[in-house]
Amino acid sequence: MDNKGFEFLLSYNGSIGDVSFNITGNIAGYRNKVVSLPDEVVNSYAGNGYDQTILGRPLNSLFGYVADGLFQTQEEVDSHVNQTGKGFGRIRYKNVDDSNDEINDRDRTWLGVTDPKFIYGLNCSLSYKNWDFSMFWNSICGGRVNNTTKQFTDFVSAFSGENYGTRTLEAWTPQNTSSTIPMLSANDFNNEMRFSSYYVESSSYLKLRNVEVGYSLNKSICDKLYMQNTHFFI
Amino acid sequence: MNILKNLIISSAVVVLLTSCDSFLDINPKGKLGDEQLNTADNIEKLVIAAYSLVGGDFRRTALWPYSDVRSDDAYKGGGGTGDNAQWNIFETFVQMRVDLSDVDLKWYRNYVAVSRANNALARLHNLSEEEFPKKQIRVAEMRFLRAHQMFELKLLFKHIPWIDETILAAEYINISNVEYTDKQLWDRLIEEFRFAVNNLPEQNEDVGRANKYSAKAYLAKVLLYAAYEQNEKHEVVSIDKTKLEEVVTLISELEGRYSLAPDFARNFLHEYENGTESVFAVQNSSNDGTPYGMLDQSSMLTYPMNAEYGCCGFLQPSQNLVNAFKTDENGLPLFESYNMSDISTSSDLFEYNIDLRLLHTVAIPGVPFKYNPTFIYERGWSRQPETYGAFLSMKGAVLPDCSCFQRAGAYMSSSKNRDIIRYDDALLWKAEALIELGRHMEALPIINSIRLRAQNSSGLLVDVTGNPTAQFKVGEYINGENCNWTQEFARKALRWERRLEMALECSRFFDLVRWGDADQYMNTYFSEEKTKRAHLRDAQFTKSRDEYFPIPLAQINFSKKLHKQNYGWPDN
Repeated sequence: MDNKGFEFLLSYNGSIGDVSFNITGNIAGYRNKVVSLPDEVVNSYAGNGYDQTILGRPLNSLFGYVADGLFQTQEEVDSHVNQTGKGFGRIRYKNVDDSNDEINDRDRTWLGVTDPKFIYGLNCSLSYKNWDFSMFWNSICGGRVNNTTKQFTDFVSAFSGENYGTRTLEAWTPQNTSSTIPMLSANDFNNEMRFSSYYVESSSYLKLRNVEVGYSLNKSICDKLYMQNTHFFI
Repeated sequence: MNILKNLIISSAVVVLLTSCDSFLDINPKGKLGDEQLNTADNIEKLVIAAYSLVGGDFRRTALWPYSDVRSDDAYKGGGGTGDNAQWNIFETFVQMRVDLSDVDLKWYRNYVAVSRANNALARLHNLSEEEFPKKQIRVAEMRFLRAHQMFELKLLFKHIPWIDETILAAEYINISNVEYTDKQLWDRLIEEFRFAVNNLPEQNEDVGRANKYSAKAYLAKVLLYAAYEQNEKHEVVSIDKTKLEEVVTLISELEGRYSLAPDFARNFLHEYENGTESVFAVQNSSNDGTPYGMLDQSSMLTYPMNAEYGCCGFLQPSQNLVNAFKTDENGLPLFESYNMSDISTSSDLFEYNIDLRLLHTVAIPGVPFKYNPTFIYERGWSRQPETYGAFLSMKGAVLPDCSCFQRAGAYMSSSKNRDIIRYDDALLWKAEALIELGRHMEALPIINSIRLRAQNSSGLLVDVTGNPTAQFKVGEYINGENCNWTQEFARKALRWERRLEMALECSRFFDLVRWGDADQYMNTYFSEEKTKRAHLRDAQFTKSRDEYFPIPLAQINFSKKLHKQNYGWPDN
């Protein structure tokens, strides 16, 4: 495996009058590539095992079918290539390998990588006389995630006899055709449990991890209380 | 001086470190190193490890979802068509795909069992007879077990890779499932059981080990299947009479060693296991040091839903099967009219003459469950009768107060043995071979002996007042009186007899495929049964495809496309 990455950290201290501040930002990124594997284990990784393998790709690559929306009408169903279990309200899978008229193993392809492209952080702190304030932001962007929870929230066919997610109430029906959730069905003949882009979502986020406001007591007050320093903060 | 001292010390340390490798080697605790497994004692344990997989070790890869559910004998059962949904696809055929994970799982688990036998075999070859006097016997036992697993794979997939102990793991990638033709695979299986016959003792130590007689029986079974030669479309194109003659000879040689139990019930009761009728059985056990015991995995999902049990209501007999137990005024099957009306509850059992074996096989509402007259099976004990009806399979069940009964988490089963080969089954092979050889008159007394035993199996089939639980009548075939025993009639009678005797024991589907007309039986069944069971509404058996599972797509990919897909299935 080959890993390359970088990380930058930039920090600035300054003051304006009684306010002193510090801003620190960092950005990191890494790229990963599987270079070689013993023959016997290539199949244990993403890929189809013969002409599409993990070699030369990031370890955390996703490989599956492309979910291309829902069939809205019987005409759309009929004009699509052979797909066992297709019907209106069902997921349409893309015929990626259009050399044949079937949705089969040849139509699986690369759907993204779970590793983020970049990771950012930003740390600001201010102080004014006895007061201080700091915050810390964190962000990743550019990665994908395999949201398998959707099997529980969006379907009644996956685990029959159990409680179903409330999203199933918003599933596609001929009266509710704008839904992206496939029509409810007791059996999963269209094999919508198969790994596809239906389950692949962006994993990017920006999050405020920490905010703090604080006040330090004057040294003279502390001395009287036999303390060296006291800091109140939220 | 200092430099010299340092030099001497450092070179001494270097010498010490490089020359004392073994001093620093410690065997990891709690694990066996490969070398340690090559002692006779440890090889004996590897042999036992191979035996422990004879019946499989996982409730979902038991044989019944892959066989009985695909036949006209049973529905999947359970909590609706979505419960273990892939088995619903097995049952109805039309939605079958090459990438069903449960098909791949079965392939995988059977080959794990094959690898255990191969592991023991490879190490056995390295021991001499002086070091291990039982070597040849153990080799024969392992080849027997390996052939048992591969026979099951052959019935499911037809074209399978032959992996034996002479092939190194690195070479597996070069073994294709079509390296041997269908016929060559049969020849190899036959060879394995011949070796077992020639090298196993008549009595082996430890009940449950293979012996010369169980090997003869298994050899006969394989010969019977192989005798019906199929083309690539799974059609029977010829019958090998030499093989059939050997089947007759082999089963005849079992006489004296095995005999039919006086009551059919004994074959399905813990107290009578390893009896005179059991030829080769899965030796289940409890209180054996494992968390729950080595339990009967085939019954782990098939108990009723009442309070004394609780899960999971799978493997439900079809209406078609239940009706097939009706008999006429002579006690003979109602070949033509059996399915024109349905047996549903205990009162229906007095509207018709009934073959007793029904009450040993199927739990029927209103009738005692497993021979306990105070333990009445009810419709409410079934899981989802609106979908799958209310019958349940009973042969594998035990009563809750059996010492062998054992709960395992949400599931339950028992340590009762399960027969892989039983003498009644073997006698019917002999009868089948005789009939196909044109010697059907010799088959008549064999079939009658089975029916006579059935007739005598009423002892446990009583209610609380001691009265029979149905209007029992099983009669013998009497040529010229109640039937005309032509070859054609004999064939029909034999096939019916197999169905009644071996119901829900994973034989039916493979029998239909062997006989070459699975599509006719199954599509007739669907056309009649779907009026009663809505889940079969769209079911259809596709000839020259559904006789065998597709080679799992995952396996074709793992083999880098070396494996070839079976006829009728799309080649990706």
